[in-house]
Formats: sequence, structure tokens, C-alpha cells
Amino acid sequence: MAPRFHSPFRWRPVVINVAVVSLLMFGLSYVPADTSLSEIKRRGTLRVCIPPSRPPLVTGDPTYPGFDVGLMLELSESMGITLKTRVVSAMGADFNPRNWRLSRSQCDVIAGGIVDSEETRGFLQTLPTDVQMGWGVIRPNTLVPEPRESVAVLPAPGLDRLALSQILRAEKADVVLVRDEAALIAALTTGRVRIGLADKGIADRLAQDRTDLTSAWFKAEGVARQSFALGFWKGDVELRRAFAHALSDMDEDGRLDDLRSQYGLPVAD
Amino acid sequence: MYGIWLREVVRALRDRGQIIGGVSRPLIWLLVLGIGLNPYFRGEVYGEVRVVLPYTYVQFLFPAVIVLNIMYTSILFAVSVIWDRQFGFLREILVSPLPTPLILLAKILGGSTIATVHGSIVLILARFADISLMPGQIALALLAMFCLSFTLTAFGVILANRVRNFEGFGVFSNTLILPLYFTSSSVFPLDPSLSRTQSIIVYPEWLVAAMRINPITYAVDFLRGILIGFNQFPAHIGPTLILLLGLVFFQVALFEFRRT
Repeated sequence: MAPRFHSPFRWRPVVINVAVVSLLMFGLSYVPADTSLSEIKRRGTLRVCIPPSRPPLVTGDPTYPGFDVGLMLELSESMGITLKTRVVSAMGADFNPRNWRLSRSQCDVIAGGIVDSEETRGFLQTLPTDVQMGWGVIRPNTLVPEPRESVAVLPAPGLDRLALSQILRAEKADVVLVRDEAALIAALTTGRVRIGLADKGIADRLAQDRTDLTSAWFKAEGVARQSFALGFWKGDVELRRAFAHALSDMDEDGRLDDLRSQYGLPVAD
Repeated sequence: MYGIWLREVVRALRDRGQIIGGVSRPLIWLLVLGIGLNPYFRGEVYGEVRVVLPYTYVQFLFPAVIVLNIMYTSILFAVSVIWDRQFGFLREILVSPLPTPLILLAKILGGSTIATVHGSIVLILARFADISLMPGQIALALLAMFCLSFTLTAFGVILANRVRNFEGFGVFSNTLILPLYFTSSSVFPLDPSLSRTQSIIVYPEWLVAAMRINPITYAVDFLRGILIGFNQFPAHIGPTLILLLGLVFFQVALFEFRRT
């Protein structure tokens, strides 16, 4: 039978059909996409991989564990699960995340230096924490590298090493790659190099410990600060979603700002 | 003209069969296939994934499912043209004072509206796919969906003008819709230039060529650009191709409609 177009109720079946379908789809959009969250809740523990030190994100000090660890503690507590950290030494020592050899069997979340970039998102799902990091300069006297100046570089995973190397090459700097913080300090104090470049958080901490060194942001064209995030395995949509909710709650009740100020990170507007 | 458009829209949206079809496709493709294939695309070791995309598999699939829903609805809408021809309604409206181009335009706009509604039904599942949509994105996506629906409905009318019965059209549309969909980089990313890791995956030359000449590839890419901010091809190709083909298909459909 042809539809009665002049009937005042001609739109009623249309509205009913569209409403029923929309409600059905809306309800189904809440279907769990995977078992990542339910598995962790069943287990009761959340395993987080962190580097030995990446101040202010990870400090290695249990009383002052770092922003990312503090954040994970708060988030897991609000979700009713226990946090279990696993320190992976390769995370602080190698530029290439592939060499960190992190697997799903080791950790559910990766924290303490995950850069929120498109490259990272090719391998992980990220949850931005609004923390920005970048290269810092640590020096006894000069701030900007002069031509043919000797510079010690402490690798900082996640930071833009290609942009940095281009600048240092253009400046014709004499670059020495150092393996750890002690080697950086030794290179600076023995006069082997005039300035050091490291993660700003590390540069700040080293300068705080010594009165003969000062630190600052390394400012140069092409070197941008990087936004950091928590890293979740690709496909763990439910776990990431639960953390995003918990993080949003923390942001609303001010706990996130408290944590940021505790670690000297700028408070979001 | 409004009457013809309204007739098409009301008739289609009253039809529970069509509505169920519009719901079942996204449910099967997103919920069943998306969840089912998720373990094969998820990360197990940092730095080692099968497909290096800055999105999850369901997010990658999401815009393609919208296009699939639009394709089915738009092309199968042309059945109504066969229906109208067989039951004499087409003859009645063609003798009305309304110019033929406007009659055809009204019918195609009706089909485009229905297809856009079916496409936007999928948008409700954005939460499931973990895609956050801003109002501007939704508006742009609806506009893109409408343009794509117009083009595909015009294409469906061209097909309907060449097919004389319902059975023939069913076979024709299925042998067309699914191959077009599967060779549009909808279910798996084909472009090996995406990343070094992806270049390891070797696809046969013919499949890559089929994908590159398939206009649906660029339509899917256009919607991916809007909804998840990811383009495999230059962003302007999708909208340009959709608009251009829309104009061409409408002209061809008009030519054949007049001949009918």
C-alpha cells in the first residue's frame, strides 16, 4: 500500500524507526571492544614498565616517585587495582624503543618517557598527560654552543635527536656521546666538553645537585618540545578508555594539578 | 520536486527491511569483524606490529564501514527506479509539468538523503571505535557523506536504466559493491609507502593497481581524513573525485533517464 503522505502521522513510523535504530546503536556502542580491562580487574594488578630514571616523570625515589608513577598510582587506586612497577634499564639507555624489548607479557602500560607522536602511535595507543619535555642544556659557563664548541650529548629517548644533530652539525660542534649522567658530569667538570645536552628534567636535577653547573632549555630553531603520554598496547581500547575517564576525573577534582605542581610541572590553564 | 524527494525518504525510512540492513552491516563489520580481527592487529612487542598505523584496527575500519553502508543504500536505492518504472509511477511523473532534470534530481536527492541517514547511523558507534568526534568533524563528515551518496545514487540510477528487473539488479549490485569495497583499502591498508615496516608486506601488483584505480579508495580516504585525521593519499583527491564523478554520473543518468 502506498504511504499516505497527507496524513499528519506520516512521519511517525519514520521517527519510530530512526529512534529505535539510534537507541540500539547507542546501546551497542557500550559493548566492550576487548578484554584488556576485564583481564586486569580479574587479576587485580596493573603492571607498568618504567625507566630507572627520567625526572620528573620517574625519579627512582620511592618517597618522591615522579609524575608518571604518581599519576599511575592515583589512577590505579581510583580503579581499584594495585600498581606493580617494573624497571626496565634499557628504556633509559637506548634511543630506539624497539631495543627496549618491552612486551605485553611484561607490562600493561608503559610510562616514564613515552612521547605522544605519530611515530609512537604507530606502535602504541597513547593517553596524553599534558607534560612537555625537551632538550636541556647544562653548562659551567656558556649557554649556546659556539662554532666548533665541544658538546656532550646524553641520549634522551623520545626527544628529537635528528633535529638536534642537524643543529650541532650546522654549528660544527664537536660532539661527544656520553652513556650516563656520571659520564656527562665527568665530561663537563674535567673540561673535556664545555656544555652538555640532556633531557631537561635530567639537566635540571644534575644542576640542582651541583653548584658549579646551571641548566636551561636548549632553545634553537627546529628543536621543539615534545608532549608526553602514557603508552597502552595497540588494541587495548577498554583499558585506555578507563584510564582516560579516571584521568579526566583527576583533572576535574584538581588532583592532577596538585600532582603537576608537586613535580614542578606547569599547571594547565 | 519536494513531493518526489519526500516520497522517497518516507518510503525508505518506513521500510523496516532497509533499516535493519543499515544496522546489520555496521554491526557485522565493526563489532564482529573489528573485535574478531583486533588480536591480529594489536601490539605484542613494542616496535613490532603487523600494520604500522597511528590508529587501532577498528578506528581504521570505521570510516570504511560508513562508506559501505552508503554504497549499499545508494546503489540499491536504484531498485526504486525499476519499481517505479514497472508500476507506472515513473510514467506518471514524467508527464507532469516538472522538467525531467528536476524529477531525476529529486529522486537522486531522496536516495542521497536516505544513504546519508544510513551512513550517519554508523557515527553513533564512534564511541565503540574509540573515536572522539567534534561537532565540526560531524558536520563535515555529513557533508562528505551526502556528496558521496549523491554520486553513488546517480551511479545506481545509471545501472537501473540498464537493468530491466529486480533479480538482475540484485546480482549486478552485489558483484559490484563488494569488489569495489574490498579493493578500496577499506579492510586492510594497501599502500606500502606508509612506513618501512609496512613495506615489508608485499602485495601483488594487480591488487595495488585495482586499489589505485578504484574511486571508492579515495572516498574512504576522504572520510578517514575527516574522522580520524589519516590520509593515505593527498587529501584533495577524495573530494575532487567525488564531486567530479557526481556531476558526470548525474549527466549520464539524465541522458539515460530521458531516453527511457
